[in-house]
Amino acid sequence: MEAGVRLSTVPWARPKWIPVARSPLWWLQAAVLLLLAYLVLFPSVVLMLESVRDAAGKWTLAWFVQVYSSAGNYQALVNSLIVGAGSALFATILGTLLAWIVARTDTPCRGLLEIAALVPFICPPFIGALAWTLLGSPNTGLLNQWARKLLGIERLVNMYSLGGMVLVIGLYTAPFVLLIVGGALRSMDATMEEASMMSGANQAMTTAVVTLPLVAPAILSGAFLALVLALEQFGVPAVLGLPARIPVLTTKIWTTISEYPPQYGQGAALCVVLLLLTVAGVLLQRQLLSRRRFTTVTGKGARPRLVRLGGLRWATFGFGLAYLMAAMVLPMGVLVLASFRTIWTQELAWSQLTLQNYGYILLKYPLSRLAMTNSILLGAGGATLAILLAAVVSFLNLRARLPGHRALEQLAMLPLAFPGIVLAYGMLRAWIQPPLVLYGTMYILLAAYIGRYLPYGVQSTSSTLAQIHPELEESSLMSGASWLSTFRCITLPLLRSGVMAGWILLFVSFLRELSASVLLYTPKQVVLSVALFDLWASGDIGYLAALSVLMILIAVAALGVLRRLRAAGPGFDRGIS
Amino acid sequence: MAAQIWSENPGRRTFLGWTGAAAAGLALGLPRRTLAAAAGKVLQYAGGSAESLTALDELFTAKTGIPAESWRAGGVAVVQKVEAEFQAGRVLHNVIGNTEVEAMIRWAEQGHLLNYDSPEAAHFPREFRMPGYWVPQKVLLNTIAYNTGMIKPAEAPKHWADLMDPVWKDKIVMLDARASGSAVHFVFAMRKLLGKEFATRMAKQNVMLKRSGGDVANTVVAGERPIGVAIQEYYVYSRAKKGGPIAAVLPDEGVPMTIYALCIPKNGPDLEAAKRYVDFALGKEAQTLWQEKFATPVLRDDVPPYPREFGLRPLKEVKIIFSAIEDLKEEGATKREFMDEWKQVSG
Repeated sequence: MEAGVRLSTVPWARPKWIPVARSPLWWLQAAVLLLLAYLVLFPSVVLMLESVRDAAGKWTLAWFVQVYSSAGNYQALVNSLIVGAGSALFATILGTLLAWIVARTDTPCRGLLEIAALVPFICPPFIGALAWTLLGSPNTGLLNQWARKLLGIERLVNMYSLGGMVLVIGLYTAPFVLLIVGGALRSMDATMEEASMMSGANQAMTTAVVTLPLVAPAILSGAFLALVLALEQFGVPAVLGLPARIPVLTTKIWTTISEYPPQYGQGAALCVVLLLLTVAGVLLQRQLLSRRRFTTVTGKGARPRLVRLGGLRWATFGFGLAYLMAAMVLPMGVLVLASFRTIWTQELAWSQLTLQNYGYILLKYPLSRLAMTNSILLGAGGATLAILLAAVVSFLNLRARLPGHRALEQLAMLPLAFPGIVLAYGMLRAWIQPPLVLYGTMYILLAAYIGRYLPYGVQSTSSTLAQIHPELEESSLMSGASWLSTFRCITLPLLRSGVMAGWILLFVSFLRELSASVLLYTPKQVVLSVALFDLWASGDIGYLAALSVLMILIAVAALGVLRRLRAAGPGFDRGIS
Repeated sequence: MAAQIWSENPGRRTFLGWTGAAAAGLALGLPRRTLAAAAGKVLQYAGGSAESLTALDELFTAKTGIPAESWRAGGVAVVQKVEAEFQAGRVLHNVIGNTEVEAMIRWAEQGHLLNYDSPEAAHFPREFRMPGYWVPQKVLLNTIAYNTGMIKPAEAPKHWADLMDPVWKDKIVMLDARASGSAVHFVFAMRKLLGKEFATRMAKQNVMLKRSGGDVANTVVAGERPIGVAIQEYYVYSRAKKGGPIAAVLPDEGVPMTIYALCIPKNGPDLEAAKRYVDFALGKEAQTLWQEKFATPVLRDDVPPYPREFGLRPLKEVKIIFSAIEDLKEEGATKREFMDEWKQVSG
């Protein structure tokens, strides 16, 4: 499982069947390059320029000076680093342990525990944070109430804190570490472990001295991915940090430009700093992934044996179960409870039970109906366009390999380093002015979603295409078919497994995207995540919980389809913030 | 992976069917949605509770047959969205309802608003409206609220200055002026009443900040923080009506009153529908609905007085401070200064 498929290392040379010059593919590649430049490069350039130019267009560093001469902004940077590092550490430990339990031990019900990998797709971190406020508010959170009654402990957790943010982000980021480390653990060459055991080392020592170092690059890669995901998280710090007056960079960017009058220059300067942090994280992660020599993950050799834990296997089962409880069962349970109550008080009374929240959300609240329509339309249409674009990018990059294809790959992968809110900020500023005003239309969200998630689509289609030998396409072309018919009749059908998997995962991601949507939407373009965010801001707990439950059900249905297609797999290892 | 799932793939037809349908939906659906932009209907950008806005929209549609929708957000976000549309030259809304009347004064001066005098405007006091541009649809009193299950009425804070008492440290939740126009006005008024140190003194109390009056009320009702500050009375009333343990205090030294006004953007679509909506919202029926069903006081002269429940009382019996048009102009002129102070403490 990789965050970035290294397309350029695919060993094929440019096939001879592609005429180097005057091919329509040139024009196609040029058009795709232009489109990507408009989607990704243009907003980035606008953002950079805005951070170093004043209102009159003169060069200045004043925004950076203003931003970092304010104690509040400086504190936001420090908090971002604390939350980023803390969540990454927590997610890495949690994800690695879960991966080991699921992939390498004889823990019972491992199939059930594997659901952990799907957690962030079922329950987005933002909804998780909302639920955890009901569970872990310092005075009235259910867990704290139970702790007081049953254990006599005054306060078990306080979610409105840096620790609360670390806990929630860590819980919902750990599955990505699990996927990366689990993949490495499953496919590692077992002969080294066997050699260790035969030399007299016991199981614990072998795990510590042989297994762990073998998968260390995967663990580190997961850690950096977790760091980037935590740094770009917006929903969780908004829910848990803003009320407690604990800013991080993402919430600071949002408040800076959502207050009146908006401070765009300062916002841009904050964006650039956050971008530098995430770019560093992504580069480090890719650097680690490129050091293949440290791993023996070859796909060859004996399949690793399961570690027999004896009585301890129930402890590991309990650990996995505790994770599922904390990340899914408890949050979803409390949301379901809130969705059936008229008002959230300390004491639950029968008179509070109601179906009215669902009635209101489904039948009366115009925003939720509009949001559902928009989200499904954007999700389906956007995922289709994004995956087709991804297929074309993969085809041009892996098959056509015309001069300039590396630029194409790099441009398509560029958004990996962009936090959603930063990319959206650039898009907002770039597309609100002529020549092409996208602001105020659905196309701004469409373009933002495609721009932001294209790398994952490309990973999905490229990893499939990389496994298919080009001779089928060569035969088609040699038999006289045009490149277009070859792409349509041969390449695209061959890609359909990757395309279907990518489509569904993009659909789920688009459905829940918050950090870009919250900046770019206008009231006619309300989407589900924004409707949720608004209900959160307006304090309508019952409606908020009902809509959250419905959103989770839609995601579960989509993942059910995905599971039936058995297409869940590599190429989609970054979460949705 | 591809080899493993190859045989179990959906058929090509299925796949093409899916993608084709989705793409067609997008191609047909998006432009229509965008171009439809409120032709023959009302699209209001508004602060306030979703429930009350929906109720008024439904009543308007039932009476006139004109479809009406409201997009709800915090007052500050409403100003932002409105100005973004002014800047993009693509005004999608045709009615604005908001507490940021200071921004409305500016828009009127900049020529963004339609010059329209509703025939209903004469029922509203002259000192609280801007003839030709905006009229207060309702007013919001920024109250102190407390959890009646945790604090006895006699022990609840009675005056604004009481909130600074160390006994309330870690006990207060407050509406954030970065999100709510009503809270902006509240901070302005408290700064005038209690001095420039108001923001820092509140920060010392370790206040929790929420982005809407509804969320402040929930936090008080749940008991997470037993004192709510700057909370608008209709949130107190609605939670109390549902059985929530909450009541309000209206300090005798005076209460800031936030005006929630209605105006029409000059370049919005379907301005006739917008005028009818404004006339209706200012009419006696809608004004009575605001007050009776949603416990929001109105200034219209022929509506029965506000109920005397849960610590609330008729508007005429409340001393209003720092809320006349002249005060609002001062608020506009000093806003950057006092909001900078507020930002320092709000994180």
